[in-house]
Amino acid sequence: MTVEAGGLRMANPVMLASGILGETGKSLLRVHEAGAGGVVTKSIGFETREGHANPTFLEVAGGYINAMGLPNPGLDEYAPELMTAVAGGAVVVGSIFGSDVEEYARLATRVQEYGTKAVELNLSCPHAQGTGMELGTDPRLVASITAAVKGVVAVPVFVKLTPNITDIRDIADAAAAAGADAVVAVNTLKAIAIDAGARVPVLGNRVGGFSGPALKHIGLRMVWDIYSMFHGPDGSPSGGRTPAIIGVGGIETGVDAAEYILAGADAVQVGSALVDGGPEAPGRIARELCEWMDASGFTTVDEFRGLAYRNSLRE
Amino acid sequence: MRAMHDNVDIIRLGDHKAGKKPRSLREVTLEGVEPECPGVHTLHFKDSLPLAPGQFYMIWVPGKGEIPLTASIISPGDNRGLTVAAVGEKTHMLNRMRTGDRIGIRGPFGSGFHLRDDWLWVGGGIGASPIVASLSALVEAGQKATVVLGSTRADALILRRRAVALLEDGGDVTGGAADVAAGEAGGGAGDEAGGMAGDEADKHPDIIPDDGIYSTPRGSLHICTDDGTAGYRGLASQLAHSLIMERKGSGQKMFKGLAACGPEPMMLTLLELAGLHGLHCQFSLERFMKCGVGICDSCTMDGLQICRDGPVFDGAALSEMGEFGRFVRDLSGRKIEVWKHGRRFTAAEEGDGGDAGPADPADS
Repeated sequence: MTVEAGGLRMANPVMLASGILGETGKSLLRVHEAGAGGVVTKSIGFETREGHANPTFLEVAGGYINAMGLPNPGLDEYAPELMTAVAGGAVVVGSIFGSDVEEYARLATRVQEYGTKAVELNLSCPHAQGTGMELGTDPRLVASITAAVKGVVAVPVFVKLTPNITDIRDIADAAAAAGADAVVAVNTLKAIAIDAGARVPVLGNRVGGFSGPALKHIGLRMVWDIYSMFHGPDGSPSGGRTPAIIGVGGIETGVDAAEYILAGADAVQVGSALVDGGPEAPGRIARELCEWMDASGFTTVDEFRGLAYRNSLRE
Repeated sequence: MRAMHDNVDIIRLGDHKAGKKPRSLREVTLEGVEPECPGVHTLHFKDSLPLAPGQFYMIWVPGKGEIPLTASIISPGDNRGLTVAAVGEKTHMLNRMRTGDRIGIRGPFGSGFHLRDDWLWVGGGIGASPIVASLSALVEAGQKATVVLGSTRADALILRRRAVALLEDGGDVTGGAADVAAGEAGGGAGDEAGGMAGDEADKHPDIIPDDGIYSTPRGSLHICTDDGTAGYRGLASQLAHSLIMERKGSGQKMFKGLAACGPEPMMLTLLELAGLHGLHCQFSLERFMKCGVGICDSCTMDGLQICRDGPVFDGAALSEMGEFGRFVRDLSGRKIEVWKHGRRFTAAEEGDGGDAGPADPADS
């Protein structure tokens, strides 16, 4: 079931999402060895960050809310972990975040040196000089960061999109025009948990990001919107750059993954499913997807990518 | 030195698929706050989710933070207890709590001890918690246990009255205890000025003889202190070694296995000891935790997650874990030594920074 998504070749289209089991190379390898097609690291910056105070994670109805706060030991400390994962044979995508364009470019260059097969830009962090709005809500910033990174690395550049936005197509369009090889849709949705008994927010950071099964139909819709924008009313690619789409949000089974591909995704990422399913979840989902493809008569992902969109045009 | 290959099944009730209830946050009301020694209290509450000795809860102190704590009390019905040493901001706050206060809990999480007959159980410092929890389950199941409880000195010993009560009649020495008078006067139940706290703690006469050994048909308890102010003078690992050699020399059957919880250097020594004598073993580990459910990787060790693959690991697994006894990850994920600047890491200090206090409350 080999696929190529945005220039990244993988044994299957089911990847580990950023922020899950990514603290060490050995943890990433565990997920790789259990069958994930690719693994995305936790988001790394130049500086050491402890992240937010606990509680940082909470199970709620329909999913989870987390406010980890981008904890990471800084790129220098993390480099050996990256190299361990790469040396162990994983297809490693390095997720990076910075406070400005120049930081993203420098991080991307370094991360490529350690053997990552692609770079994923985490834009769900507040602008250093800004109002606290996520970088990823500003199409011009997204474009300049994407262009800057594309200008300095040879590996594919993925742009992870935030769903905390009125119209994700604006951002997807900006990323595509700036040269993104793929857009990853979507990151977590802003949320808060209030405890009625203690009468305070639960998470240490108060607000957090919602993920998990209840996000699936939202992620699916965003993939759908992006795919339809790039594939016009008759289903053929519109003019200009058409990035690959990597779908994320609430995927728990192979059929969920199939739905995302039918909506237009080239590959998918899995995160919250590891709470129940453990490190084996992405591999299991890949196998289930394979079974679904066999049962449905598809040999390759290409055969049914965006098929639900094309089918919907024939009325 | 490799410990003998284990076929001990480690109980994993925490990730049972019976429902997501363990992972949901719920509030419990404290039914009692029992002083153990200066700076340490056992918080009593009720919770209906099944709990295996060795499993832990993530305890939320609203407005302060959330830390992993292992249950020390698993009584019939839904009685639960957490023994908390005041080593940082959150644990100090927990030590000042009273009957009627509320805390948030998630869990129980992780793997528990596998309970078998005639093992040697070693608890060092606050590591006594899951050991004494195990003792209550062993006694209930009619399985014999030899328990070592060690501390730096006599006034830092914890849970020994409970261990004695379990060995004596399988019962609960306290019915959900009262607050310390010092605490109610506003002095703070966690005060080290607790000569008074110490008196309260000894409402029940200390029935352990001077040699620190208490034996019944159910098993035996052996107390040790680093400075010899109670029981055997020496480290818990030294006493364990001594008990193993005693069995060897006396022609009695060797212990069937060795279980332990305590400072990681202690457990590293015990792993080697188990290997030398061909003993099965299980150890309960700790690391800084954030999500508690195996996702964030904060508690990672050698690619495993302590909150989900552990906290109890058998000897075979531990022999493969090169970070055991040597390295922990700090809150940013940076690798640091288990001993740093002369202080031993403890997961209960998460987020309190480097100078929150000594690792052993008795040192303050």
